[in-house]
Amino acid sequence: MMTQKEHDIITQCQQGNKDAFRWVVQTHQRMLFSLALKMLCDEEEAKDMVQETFIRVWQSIRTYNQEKAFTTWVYTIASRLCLDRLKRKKRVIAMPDDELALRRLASDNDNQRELENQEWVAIVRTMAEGLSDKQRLVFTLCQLEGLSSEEAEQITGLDARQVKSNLYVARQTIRKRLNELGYE
Amino acid sequence: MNKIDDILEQLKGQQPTIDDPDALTERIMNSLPDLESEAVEVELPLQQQERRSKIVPLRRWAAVAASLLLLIGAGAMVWMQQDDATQPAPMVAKVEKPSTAIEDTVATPVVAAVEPLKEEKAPQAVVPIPTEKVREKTEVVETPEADDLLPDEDPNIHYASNELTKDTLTYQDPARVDDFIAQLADYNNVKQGKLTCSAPLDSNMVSAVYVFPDKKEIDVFGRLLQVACWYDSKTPGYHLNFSQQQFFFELKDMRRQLQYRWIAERVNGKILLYSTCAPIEVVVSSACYQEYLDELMHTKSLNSKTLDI
Repeated sequence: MMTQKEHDIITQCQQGNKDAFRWVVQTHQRMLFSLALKMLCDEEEAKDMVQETFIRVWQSIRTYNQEKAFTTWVYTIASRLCLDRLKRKKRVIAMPDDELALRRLASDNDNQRELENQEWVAIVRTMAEGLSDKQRLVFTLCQLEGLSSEEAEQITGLDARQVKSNLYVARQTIRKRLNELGYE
Repeated sequence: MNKIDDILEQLKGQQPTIDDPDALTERIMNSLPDLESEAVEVELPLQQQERRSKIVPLRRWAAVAASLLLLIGAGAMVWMQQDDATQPAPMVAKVEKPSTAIEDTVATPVVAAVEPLKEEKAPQAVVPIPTEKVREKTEVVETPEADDLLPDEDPNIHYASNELTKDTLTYQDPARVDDFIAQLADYNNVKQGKLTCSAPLDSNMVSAVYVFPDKKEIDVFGRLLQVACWYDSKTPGYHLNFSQQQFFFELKDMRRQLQYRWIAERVNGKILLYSTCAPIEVVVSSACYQEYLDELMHTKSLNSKTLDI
């Protein structure tokens, strides 16, 4: 749920207060960068996508209904932009060295180790190769970003069955791929 | 950790870091447009966007299909209008009398393959030529022409009407025979000869002479007969006489007060075709033609003959 502080800030943003919007950017940019990087597998493009998302948020913030979760609304815009970029982009294909990052992650006993951005890119490229854009989005939201199915439904506009089936297919595809690479 | 579930679990919830978050924030803040001048755009959920993206191509296709239908419709209308304007009415083949209406004896019945004059160059028509002179009135084909629709005609008679009143005769321009002959000559690379008579001629008299090779493929006699059959036998001055050796045809144009005469004759493996046109009051002499014919009878290379005789 939205806190009172967040509510007030968004109200100020809706009144055109850019300083208030700075707080929104600072609070949500990492979240959006994470989604963008995992979807687009390119750090600079991810930053561009984050910038574009906030511009859209700023432009549309007056239409935002505060009864709904602001994060979900921002994610919705970001997801749309990610899918638009993926349509224009060449298919994401795993590079020969990408699997090494996955090997390092699998052999690392430190579960708390934070992955570097290039490692993220390599791992996602390895796993998500062969997924459709929609499967990739649902998998990223639910599996990598840790959002609930309900949130994924609101963000993607898909119903529960569609989210579930897309997530299932994505997981199966990734499992099959990792199996081929020797993982159990 | 080779378990897939473990790998996925470790990835869950981890977020990549932005190397310089403040720089990105500044970049974003600097790129924000002024809210007052920007149109508000509402983001749609994914499914609505998909639906919209499906509708847009459908609309496009519908628009393309509608445009095509309009174009086809407009084209068809234009074509039909042009067709109505340019295409002559259906040819009415009116057989006034059966082939028994031959005045003189005929060894072979005349079978005139009737075809529009526009196809005059086509060499397929086969017209058996009778062995004896006849006066032929077998088939009369009325093909309405642009000239048929002249305003001075009886407006009560439709040009495509099958029935003509007894006192009305469709105008058929005799000059079309000359046009046909000119086209036939041109098609067969036969040049027009020039008649130079020893006797002075009326300046209003126009004559032309052609020397065709007497070949079955060209079939000058058959084609001339076809043209002659196109005219109504009631046409003023109508006089048709032909045999294997000679073709003779006369017509008068009462509108222009002109008389026409065409003579074709087989000479030394050639066919000499002579046509003349003169005012009705002028006495047409065949002396020139006779001179040319005499000259021809003693000349072997007819087509290389010089124009001056």
